[in-house]
Amino acid sequence: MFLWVGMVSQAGATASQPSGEVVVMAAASLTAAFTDVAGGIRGPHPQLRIVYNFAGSQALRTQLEQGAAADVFASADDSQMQRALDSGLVDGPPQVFVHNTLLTIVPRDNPGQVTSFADIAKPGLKLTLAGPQVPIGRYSRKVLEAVQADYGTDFAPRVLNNLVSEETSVKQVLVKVQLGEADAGIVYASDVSEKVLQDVSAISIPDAYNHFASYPIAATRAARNPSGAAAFIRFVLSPAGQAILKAHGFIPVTE
Amino acid sequence: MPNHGRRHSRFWPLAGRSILWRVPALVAVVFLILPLLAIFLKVLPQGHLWHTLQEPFVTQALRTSLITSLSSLALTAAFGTPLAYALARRRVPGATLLDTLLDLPMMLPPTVAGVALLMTFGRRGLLGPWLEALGIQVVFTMVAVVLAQSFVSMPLYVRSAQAGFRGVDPELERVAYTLGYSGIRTFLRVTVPLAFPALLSGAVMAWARALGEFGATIMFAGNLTGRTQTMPLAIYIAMESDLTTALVLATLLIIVPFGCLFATRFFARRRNYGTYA
Repeated sequence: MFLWVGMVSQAGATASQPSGEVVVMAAASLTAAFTDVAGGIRGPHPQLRIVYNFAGSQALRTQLEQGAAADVFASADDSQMQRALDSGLVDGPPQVFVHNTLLTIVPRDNPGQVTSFADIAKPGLKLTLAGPQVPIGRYSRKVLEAVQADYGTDFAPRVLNNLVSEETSVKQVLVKVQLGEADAGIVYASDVSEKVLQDVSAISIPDAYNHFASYPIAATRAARNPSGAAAFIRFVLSPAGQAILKAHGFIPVTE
Repeated sequence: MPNHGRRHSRFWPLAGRSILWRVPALVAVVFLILPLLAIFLKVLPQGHLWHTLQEPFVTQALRTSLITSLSSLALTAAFGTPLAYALARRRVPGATLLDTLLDLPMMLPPTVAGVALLMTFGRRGLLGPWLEALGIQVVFTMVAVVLAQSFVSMPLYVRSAQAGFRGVDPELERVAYTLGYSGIRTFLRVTVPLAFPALLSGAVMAWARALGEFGATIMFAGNLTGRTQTMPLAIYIAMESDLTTALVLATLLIIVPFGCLFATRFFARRRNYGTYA
């Protein structure tokens, strides 16, 4: 198996057309969009086979540190990418390939009667956020900080007092709200697809406080298929790749 | 029973073929013990272990783990003991099917257990509307942690207790009863003491399993420091930020169950109870 992968990626390195398997570690929020990217890349590179590992960016960075084999790392935040860069795990410099913003979501039947972002501070509300080690968790807390100027300094403590769980990825926050277990959660705008909207309602976070998240991507230093990794990154940054990401609710870097 | 787990001569069909069993047996031993050793070898040179142990993140996980695992042990003993006794003594219709079903929770992937518990006790689960009407919230609370732990660990206890009760000679119970002990008294004074080694070893195994529960807990109870974040969850979270903390917690989760298991087995053997423990 290892031998086979090695041979294929060697072939990929020498041929003009990149081929073989490309292992991409990508932030959980990219799950749906990157799954479509794997289909889209067949057009220009029919011989590339993309294999994904989706998880919270902090989990992926940890896996890379523990020697997980991957060709590309796509993080939902700069700090996890920076840590990977500092440990010499990725071939810098990383490129920002997409942006995202945050949204509040509530179950369709809205048991907590949340109608505005300020309502997430209502006493007794069951709120889930991702943990502070997860990019979206960090961003959510930044929003709570930014909002203090207008909502009062006790806003963030009141919101965090409502916290019933610190999830390990944005998808877990989404699931807890979809199941109706949590009254509210903060996720990426890109997570709220039409299918998700069957179970949840979205409540926007005012632009003035919202976090404009930037996703960096880089090839790993230990890439077994460097030409495949480069082709993948090129495609993600190309108009075709950006269009796929936009269709999934991300903000393309060109806009 | 004539022997009590002490060494004694037995027929040994592999005599003279030592390579057939020594090598695989050694590989198995090394495979099972080396990873545990690796944690110690990684954690010992790190220093300031005592300091790490005192971090609130660690102490709160310890506290949560102790409260929940001991509660689930109490539930397991309270409900599992009568069940084990009934299974050991009564003719239950479809006993094989029931036995297999009751073993299932400990064999299931913890993620299946987590989903199953959510679908039962969740707000939109089977019992959700009733629980909500009673004002009981399960998911995201310590109760959920205890339920997840009990769900996966109770079968271990029931299995062991059932074997223990089967080993008690019903004649002894009959004698106690005819001598004037009430049914309950016979059970508590004769049956339970005779089956005690099996009950104890089952309890220790179930407790250790409860202490180690991870998958069902994180899905069903969530993850909040000081409330539902048990030691295994804290290890998972710490792995992503601070490896030393993860290693220290992991070391504790190796030492404590090992100590308890070893102690119960050691004392059980010394008291010639070896067959069960």
